[in-house]
Amino acid sequence: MSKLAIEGVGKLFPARAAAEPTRALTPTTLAIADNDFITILGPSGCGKSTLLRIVAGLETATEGRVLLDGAPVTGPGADRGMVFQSYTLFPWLTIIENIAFGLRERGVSERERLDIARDWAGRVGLGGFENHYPKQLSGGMQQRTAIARALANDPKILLLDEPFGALDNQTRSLMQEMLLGIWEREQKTVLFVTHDVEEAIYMASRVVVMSARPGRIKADIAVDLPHPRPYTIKTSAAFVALKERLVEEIRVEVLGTH
Amino acid sequence: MKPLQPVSPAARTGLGIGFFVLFVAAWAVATLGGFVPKLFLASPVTMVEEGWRLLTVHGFAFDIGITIWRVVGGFVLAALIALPLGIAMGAYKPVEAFFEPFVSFARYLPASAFIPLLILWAGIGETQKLLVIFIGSFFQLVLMIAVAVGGVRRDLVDAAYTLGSSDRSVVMRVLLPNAAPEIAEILRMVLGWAWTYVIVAELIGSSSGIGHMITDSQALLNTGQIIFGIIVIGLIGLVSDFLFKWVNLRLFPWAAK
Repeated sequence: MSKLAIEGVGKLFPARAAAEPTRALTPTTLAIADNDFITILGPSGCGKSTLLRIVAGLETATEGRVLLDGAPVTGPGADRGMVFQSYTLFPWLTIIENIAFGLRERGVSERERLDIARDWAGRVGLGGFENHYPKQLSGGMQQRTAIARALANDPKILLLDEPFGALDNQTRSLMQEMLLGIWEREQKTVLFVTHDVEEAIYMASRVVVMSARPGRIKADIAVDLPHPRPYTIKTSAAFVALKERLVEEIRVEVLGTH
Repeated sequence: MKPLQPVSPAARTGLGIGFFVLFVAAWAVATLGGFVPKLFLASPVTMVEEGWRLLTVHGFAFDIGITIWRVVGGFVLAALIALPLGIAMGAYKPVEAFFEPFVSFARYLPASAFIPLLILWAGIGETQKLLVIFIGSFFQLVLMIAVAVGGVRRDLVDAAYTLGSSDRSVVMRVLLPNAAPEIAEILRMVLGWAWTYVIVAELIGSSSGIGHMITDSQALLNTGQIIFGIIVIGLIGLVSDFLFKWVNLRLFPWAAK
């Protein structure tokens, strides 16, 4: 059985004064196996973030259902950790307190949660910054904290909504390596939304390509590149071939909307 | 001068003090130079002398104490009720829909216009003074606190939910800490307004307090004492403002700009 099952999930925004209802997402079906790293690739506004937010339980689907380990998703919960594109660290908490936020919600003792949080701070390369406030950190460091915060909760699946979208190219590349390294070690199920073709291939075991609005899945491509993947793999022939193919898929979509 | 070009701290202090000096100098020239009759405006020297006499002979310190007590008493009372109500309104939209229209209306009712009514209801004792402050600050506090609490970034709330927060926990661990520095700032601002209400309350039907001293001095044509009273109010306001700012900075280091 798949870890996460998205069954005919669609989203229709209700009609506003004199306007037709807007369809954000065509009923979509997608099965995600345990420890899969799936990237959802699509042009801006294709509903890929909506799909992710429905899986997170932050938005309700107008049709279909989401099953996690066979149980239907009814609302947000700690079993689906999420990292957002915007910086969502709590500015009044230090880095270590941010990472421990979810553990505290679960009632883990202070000592234990600080131990876990410190461990995660180290794993994302933030050792020494535990007592800083978010505003004292760069964007990349804040997103690393956000990843640690989601993973410290030990969720069944990690959802990422263009987490590196606001970062510069160098930082983004380092963050991709870091996250991939964590995934290779921890074996997590990951659903990662992006509009960056290279990022989608580099991270994924499967790339799901979505069409322009209203979004639907138009391609589902396995990425058979070996692990561990050094960043140099981005220039290998297999990678470049895959990239050309996906760029073409996306290009057609973007052109179609203009 | 270039627009928006910052000034050095030393220049800022110098310029700020400069205007005070200029102001007092102009006042001194107008009065000591004989351009304005003494009856209408006392000179700075007379003002200081009268102030000293007020403090040493007339027990003005007691009046200052009682006025501070009234402001703080009425303000704390208003804050104690406004905080939970404002937080509830900011966090829960039905509560807001229920109270907001009335509170928005009530905030425009001038507290000073209630004084005659409050004298009928509560006499001219302390209760009436506290009520004036209460009415003047309560509705403002409620609305501003509600806006501060409700103004939380939506994605912070989403993040908390995906970390396993319950609805109650979102209020306690996200909405409240998020709004806390702004609420402290609102308290500081409204306390400043409360000072204007207390003086008005004391001008009418009062036997003590700074405002009462000012009306007494008016009857005696003692402009020196009146001005001294006004300056004392300004100084107390300035000190409480500094204290508030200092405490806020200590309490919420993460919010400092």
